Amino acid sequence: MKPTTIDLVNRQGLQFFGSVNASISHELKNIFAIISETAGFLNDLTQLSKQGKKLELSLLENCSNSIAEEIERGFDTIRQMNQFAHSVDDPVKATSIADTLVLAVKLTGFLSYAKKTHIDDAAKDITVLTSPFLLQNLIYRTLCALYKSVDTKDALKITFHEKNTDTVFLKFSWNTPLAWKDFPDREISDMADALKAEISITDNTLDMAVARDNDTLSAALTGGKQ
Amino acid sequence: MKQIDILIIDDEIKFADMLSRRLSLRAITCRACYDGQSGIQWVKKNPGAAALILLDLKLPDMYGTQVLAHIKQIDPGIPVFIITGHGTREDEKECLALGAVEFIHKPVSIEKITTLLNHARGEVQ
Repeated sequence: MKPTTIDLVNRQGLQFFGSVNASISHELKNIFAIISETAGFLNDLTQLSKQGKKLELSLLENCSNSIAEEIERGFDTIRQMNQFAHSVDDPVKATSIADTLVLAVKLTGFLSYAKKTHIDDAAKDITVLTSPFLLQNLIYRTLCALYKSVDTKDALKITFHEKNTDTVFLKFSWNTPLAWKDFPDREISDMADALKAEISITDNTLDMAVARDNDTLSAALTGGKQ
Repeated sequence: MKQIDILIIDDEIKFADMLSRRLSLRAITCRACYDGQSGIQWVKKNPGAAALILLDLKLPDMYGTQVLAHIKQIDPGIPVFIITGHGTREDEKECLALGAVEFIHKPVSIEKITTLLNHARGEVQ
């Protein structure tokens, strides 16, 4: 039996939230670990200076720059966490494809196996009336599957355009041909169905056609109040 | 004869480099590798050359457990400590089953690392 849309949001949504939170906490721990080591190094230098060793100002400057960079990395991570947390504010709303892609690439970028990914920034942004959270989830999981499958040194390119008045077309491409196994899996298929998205794959492209106005999803998630 | 004291395998370059510098101030020699393959290759080319290995779990090219399994095949006796910001209890169980000595969460104090090294050198009972 196919899961209802509410089932999808509840079950897969919780898994998605957990997965993103885990990767964000990993990122923050790494940032704190670098700051902690840098502060420790400054302390080491201070102790050596107290023992009469000449203090090299360039080392202090490097440490200060490194701490400032890591703090900025931390703020950037928290901004993405905040943006992601707000994706559940509205069950269905006009959702920017460009913003959704940028956030998905940033969130998946915390994963150690993430590959270099370039979003076509010349593309004109398009909005779709959909569940921002489910769409984010679908794109995030698609990117995860691609990162795990494409060649280690390969990079991904994402482009998007309006196919017609009813559909937005997203294209993920890479260079080294890939033999797909088990994609899309059942969870991704169920999510794509709920979002009225069609996925087709070749050995170096993945196309995703997403409905611009998903009235079935709106009714399921808002009880017809949209 | 050990060529170095500690091999650090971690893709957080700044963390690995800063830790190496701090340890070098304590007369501890380190080598840093920033992905799994280069870590494995180093161990393959230099069997028995490090007193211990600090291994991150999430690496860009392979998972830390895979790296651990390879290293243990090449050099079964080398003490490997997992240092990670992420690992789950399942990861911890798997790492210990594969022969890791300890599973340590980041951040880790320099004193803890020097203690691990002293144990590995057999300087502390």
